[in-house]
Amino acid sequence: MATVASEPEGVAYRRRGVFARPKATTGVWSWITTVDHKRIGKLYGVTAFMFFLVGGLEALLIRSQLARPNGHVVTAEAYNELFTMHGLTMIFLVVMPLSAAFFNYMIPLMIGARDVAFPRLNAFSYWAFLFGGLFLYSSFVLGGAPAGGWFGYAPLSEQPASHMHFYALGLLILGISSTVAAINFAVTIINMRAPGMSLMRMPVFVWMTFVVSFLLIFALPVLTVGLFELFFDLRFGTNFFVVAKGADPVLWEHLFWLFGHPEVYILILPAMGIVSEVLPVFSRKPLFGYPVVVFSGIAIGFMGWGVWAHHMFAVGLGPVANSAFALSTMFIAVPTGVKIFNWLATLHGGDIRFRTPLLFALGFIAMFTIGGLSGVTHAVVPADYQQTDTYYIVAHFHYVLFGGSIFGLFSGIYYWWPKMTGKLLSEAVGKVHFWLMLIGFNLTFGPMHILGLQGMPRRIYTYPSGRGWNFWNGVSTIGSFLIATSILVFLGNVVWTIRRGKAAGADPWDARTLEWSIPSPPPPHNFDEIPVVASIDPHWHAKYAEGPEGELVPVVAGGSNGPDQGPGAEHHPGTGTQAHGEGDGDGHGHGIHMPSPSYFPLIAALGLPILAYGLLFSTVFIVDGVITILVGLYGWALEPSAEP
Amino acid sequence: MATHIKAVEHGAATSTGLSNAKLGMWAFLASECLLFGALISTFLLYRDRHVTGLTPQKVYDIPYTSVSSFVLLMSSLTMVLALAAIQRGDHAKLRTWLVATALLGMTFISGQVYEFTRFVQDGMTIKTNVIATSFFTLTGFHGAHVTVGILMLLSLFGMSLDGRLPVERAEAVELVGLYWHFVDIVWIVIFTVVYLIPKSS
Amino acid sequence: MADTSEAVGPTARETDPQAVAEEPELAAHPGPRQYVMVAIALAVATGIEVAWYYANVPHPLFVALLLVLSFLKFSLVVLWFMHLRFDSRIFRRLFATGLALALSVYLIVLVIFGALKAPWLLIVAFFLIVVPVTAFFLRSRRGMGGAV
Repeated sequence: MATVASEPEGVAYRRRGVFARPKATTGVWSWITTVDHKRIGKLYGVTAFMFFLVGGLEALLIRSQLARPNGHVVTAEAYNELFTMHGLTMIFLVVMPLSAAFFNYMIPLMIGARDVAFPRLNAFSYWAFLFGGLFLYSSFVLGGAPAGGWFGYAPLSEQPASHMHFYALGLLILGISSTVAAINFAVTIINMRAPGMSLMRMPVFVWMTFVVSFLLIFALPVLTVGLFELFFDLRFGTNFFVVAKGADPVLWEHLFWLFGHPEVYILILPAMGIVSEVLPVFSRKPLFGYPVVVFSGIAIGFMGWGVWAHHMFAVGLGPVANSAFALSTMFIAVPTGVKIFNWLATLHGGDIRFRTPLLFALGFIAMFTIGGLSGVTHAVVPADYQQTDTYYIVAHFHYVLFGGSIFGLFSGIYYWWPKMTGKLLSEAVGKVHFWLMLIGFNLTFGPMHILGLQGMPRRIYTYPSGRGWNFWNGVSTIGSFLIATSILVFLGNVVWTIRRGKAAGADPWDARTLEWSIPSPPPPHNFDEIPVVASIDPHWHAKYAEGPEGELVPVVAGGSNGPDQGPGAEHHPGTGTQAHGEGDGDGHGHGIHMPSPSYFPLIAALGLPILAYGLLFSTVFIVDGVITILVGLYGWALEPSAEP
Repeated sequence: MATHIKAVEHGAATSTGLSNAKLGMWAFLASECLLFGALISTFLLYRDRHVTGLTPQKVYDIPYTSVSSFVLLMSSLTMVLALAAIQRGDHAKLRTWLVATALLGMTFISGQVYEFTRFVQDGMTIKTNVIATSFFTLTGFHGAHVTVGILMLLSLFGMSLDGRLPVERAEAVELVGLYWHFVDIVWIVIFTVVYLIPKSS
Repeated sequence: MADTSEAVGPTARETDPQAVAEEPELAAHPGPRQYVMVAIALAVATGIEVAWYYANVPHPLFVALLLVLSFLKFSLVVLWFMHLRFDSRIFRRLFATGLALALSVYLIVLVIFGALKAPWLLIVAFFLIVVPVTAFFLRSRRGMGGAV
């Protein structure tokens, strides 16, 4: 929908709205109508964390059921719902939105912008995410949660016992949320960088977000089509995957994995971006080989489109297809390995401070490497014939998604917590969290390599005794409870910090990028003056210059408009900065015009689950949902983005 | 010290000088290539399967659909003339061409509705077999996109009548135009690949 | 009535002057006359396609001709009506990426399924036509290091 944002000057704008434009800046209503990227980031973060706890509970139930042979904790049907929802939750409701939380909060700050390109679209993405997640979970009380696996293979997904209706519609809603968010971030990064911030001066986290945005833009439509086809079969009796009517269920697998493989890079690249920010700060050294790290990220994004059928080696594609995809899969390990070497080289020779963000980043490197190595073994097709559908695969993807993404995201949480809240999380408690989590994680998933190679299949609700699987399943369950304990420790840290945390100041880590040059938490308009950027790590270069022997010499902040004394930004910490091409910025007393709050994004988003319920239960809701969406969209299109 | 910033939407303050909204629309259209590609591929996969029941190839009325295609192609012309009109400040012509585009679009949709009703009466429904399923789904998705486009065109028309579409907001017409032309080129592909090429020779 | 041959909206001339120096056609801006000519070309192409449908052209030739004609129609609409010929390269690259990606992955899927007659022909055609056209749209005469 074309939305021309603010009214050009001189055009009379006649108000037609029924309700006044919201203006609140505090209270619940201000959160409901916010279009501020920092608030939306916090909303994403808190919501995603809640879902993390729920997904974790599902995992504990799974592990309790599997702790011993012939378990009776849950029924087989419930078990199928549990592992399906655990996967859907962790992927779509935890890792992706936690990454989105950081995209939202940090990208504008890192590129020197005041907000994203489309602030109301940003709010819409959040609400669509929240409503999509709630819609998906409402399935538990509306006929049963989806039970056909997160990958929904047909024709099993079309059996009544799988009840995948909420799966199809829920993921469609979440897909809309992610697609528009991706467009938002891509445009923001292309178009809203501060003067002087060329693409090759952007922080690596921004680059990874950029690549992820394009992966989402191109991969989600493929899933969308698959989900529609599945839903049409389920709800309208069509034949997309009904073999008796001439269909081919392998089509579902292609459509799903064409999305699914780029999806795993969507899940890991943000965490890699975070690690690329954290390592330099805590080694007090620039990232080794910045251009190479950036190009590797781009290469991973690009090559990720050529490997999807490695999830389908055992389905019978034939030797030519299998070999081609095996080769491409082996090739894609190269840019990933390159990044790991660059990270290690960043640490080497650095002045290392082992604070919690760094610990999680190091944990990421180690755990992700292990997961990557098992991944390479899957690329050998005959070996994969033994590994596929066993716990060996479960081990692999948990090492890369938990050991990788989750550890990376926790690194970001500890790193950026002071910026977002103004307070530092406790170091001591953070370290307890880290070690408990690392040990618990390895105890949970390490043994799964063994179990898989011993033949334990995936997605079984119990197993008989006497197969030699009892011991390691028991160990794995103990590990899972250790992970849970570590999360409780983290939550305790959060509560303690809210009450008694130390004030952090603008730059507690002596960091390198622009977000650390403004107060913690930042004011609504982010930067008093948009900075002018002259190098990578502009904040670092504003603080330090190189002395005659290459040592770090602090730049004297001095007078507000004094000449620059070091390489890097013409941006001085503290008060003055040069005004630079902001038109009539000479103190006429105009405030900075930020985009105004709005409730239309929420209304438009609300229409989506209403429509979805309608498609499942009642035509009235279909009409209601469509009207709600249209009201939201028209209201949105007809209001200016910023009120004078 | 706080300063006044120009709104980004005036095109002056973006890193590339390009409009955010236009970039966003092109990104969206790029993603739609993947969407329609999947639907078209589904049809191409199933097109030659051995099935029971009527298949699309047996019930096509090519002359009829050709006229429909021509109508949609001409609507792209009227669309671009509407854009040219607002860019030179001719609001009356803008409204004329917008309505013309919407009318041509509605003609296309009515044609499709009539065509599909005929198919159903002849005994080919979306449930008949995989070929029919993928045909109706692909063309149905396209028709839904055209319908959304018509809604946007009529909205622009209403806004123009209401005085809310001055020359400074010509971009809104441009963006709807991009969407409309895209929907047209998808039909170019569909007409060729779904209607003409599977001719049973 | 204002002079319609002059650029009223911003073309690449305003937004991407360096690109204009390298590709002069980016500066222009077609008027209603040119648009009508494009429309006539589209109508003629469609007419030819339908005429061939009824002619007794051997099927493989028919398919090839239709693919070429529809590619031409597609290009005419994208380049002229959607203004991509006259706009910044960034838009071209964005759209070309989506298009190239879609063509590539779906071609591979259909080949794996064995759903295409004469797949080798299509793969060769793909490399001979689509890749160069994509490269044309994506080409940049400066390296990645330049400020975008």
